[in-house]
Amino acid sequence: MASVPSTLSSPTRRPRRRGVAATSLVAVSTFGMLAGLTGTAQAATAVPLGGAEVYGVLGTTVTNTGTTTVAGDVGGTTRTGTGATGADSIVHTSGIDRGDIGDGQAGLTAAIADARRQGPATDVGTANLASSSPLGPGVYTSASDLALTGPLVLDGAGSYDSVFIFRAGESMTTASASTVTLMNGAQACNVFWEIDESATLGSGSTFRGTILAGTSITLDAGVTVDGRLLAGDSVTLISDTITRSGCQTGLVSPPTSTPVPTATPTGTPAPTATPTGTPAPTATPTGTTRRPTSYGQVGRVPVGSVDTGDGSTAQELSTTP
Amino acid sequence: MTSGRGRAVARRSVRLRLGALAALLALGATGCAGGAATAPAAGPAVTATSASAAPTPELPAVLAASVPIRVQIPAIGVDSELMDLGLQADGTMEVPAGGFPAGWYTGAPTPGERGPAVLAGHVDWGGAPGVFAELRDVVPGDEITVSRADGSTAVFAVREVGQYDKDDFPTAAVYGDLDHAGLRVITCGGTFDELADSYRDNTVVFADLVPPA
Repeated sequence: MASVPSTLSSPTRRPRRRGVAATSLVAVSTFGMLAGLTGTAQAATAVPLGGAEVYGVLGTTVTNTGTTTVAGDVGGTTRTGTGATGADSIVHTSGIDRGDIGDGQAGLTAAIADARRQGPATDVGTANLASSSPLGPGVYTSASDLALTGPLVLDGAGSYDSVFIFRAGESMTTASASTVTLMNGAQACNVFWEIDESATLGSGSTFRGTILAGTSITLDAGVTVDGRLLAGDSVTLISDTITRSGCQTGLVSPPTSTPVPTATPTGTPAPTATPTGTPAPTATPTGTTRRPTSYGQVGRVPVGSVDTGDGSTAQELSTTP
Repeated sequence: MTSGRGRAVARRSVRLRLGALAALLALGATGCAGGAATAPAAGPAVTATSASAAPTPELPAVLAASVPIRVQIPAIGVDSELMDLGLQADGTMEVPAGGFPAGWYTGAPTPGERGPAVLAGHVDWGGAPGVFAELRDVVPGDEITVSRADGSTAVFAVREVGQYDKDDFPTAAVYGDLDHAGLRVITCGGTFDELADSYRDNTVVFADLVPPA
């Protein structure tokens, strides 16, 4: 049923305003929850890594204990426990070991400079980043340390081009079992952590993005990183896993600007607690090309219809056959 | 190796959510469903206004997130506060405890953000018309104004009004992702099924944000 029959006695039509198309009563909010967020803020752009891009792990000194898996090159002038076999070894899922890291270091230096130039930035201070979750694309800084002691969600707002840059004037520490989760177009290839001094990732934690550390990067045991560990000085690993997911561009799903609910939508499925971004098939709207529906913007999709009325003024009653 | 990330500078607005929507009200149940278990809102945290050059298409401008506090539909004399609506234990949307006020689904974007914002209210209650008693009389072109907690206002223009059998609720059209800021206003309609103690249909108004200047 696409029509809207009136089941009440014909109401008096109130006078209406016409010509609403020219109305522009909207005031773009500039009162974001933190200072510095405006409608005209320049977005973060992907930090070019140059010669450092090929590395999964880069440091002047790389030290590993246990078996660590790395996607990408492993570079260090001094490398300990990074052989391909043995009790302390690094297994490459891709890439090679490099001793000549000059290009990599130059790339890292340039990347750090690029990340520092970007802005405007939102000051997140030393508070637990998880308390601000989820975060959208942009630049986030702390004059001293960055801390993560829980789950952090980075929301790409429906675009694979969304870039996230975090900067710490001093160091960053993540707690054991802390996590960084990506959704709605956010990708590890577009997440950058520029840490002036040292970054430490807690045991069993999950981390995503490229760390650009001025001094050192230390991973406790059993850390999973989707991204890169690039340090000016030392990188320390203990049975960790460094992976590299793919990188794409564009919007997460084709824009469905006008889902046309004309004619009876037949067989429209009602997803229950659909995971974010999972495409669900939808009935073909009249006259439009069939597109898969995604539900990334609604956190939990309500089931079925909405019970908004008790029938106490209904003029037409019926009984279920 | 990954590559291809060089992009033109994009103009975006960034919103930071500080967990303000983590808790939802437990509402008294109405009609058929009892209980008022709520679910944490997990909607998106960002609005992005993109004016980048190729390869990405330009997205329509939207507003930053802000809790809606008032809805006005002048064409049908609606002027109501907005209460929070979460999910009931069975996964269906909560509804207000009475004919007034209207409510907004906190699991969806706030009206003005990119995506489908959702309002719901009763068509009738307790023998009297509810807040959305005349929602079915809205026509395309009518304005819906939502006032937000940060002082801004989102104005939507109605694009479509439909009545749908509740057994065939258009979930995809109502809750599916959008590239712009949209609004869905829902109430009951059609005949009232006495045995089911429920209206047979939902009236749904689809509206789109009038782009901010």
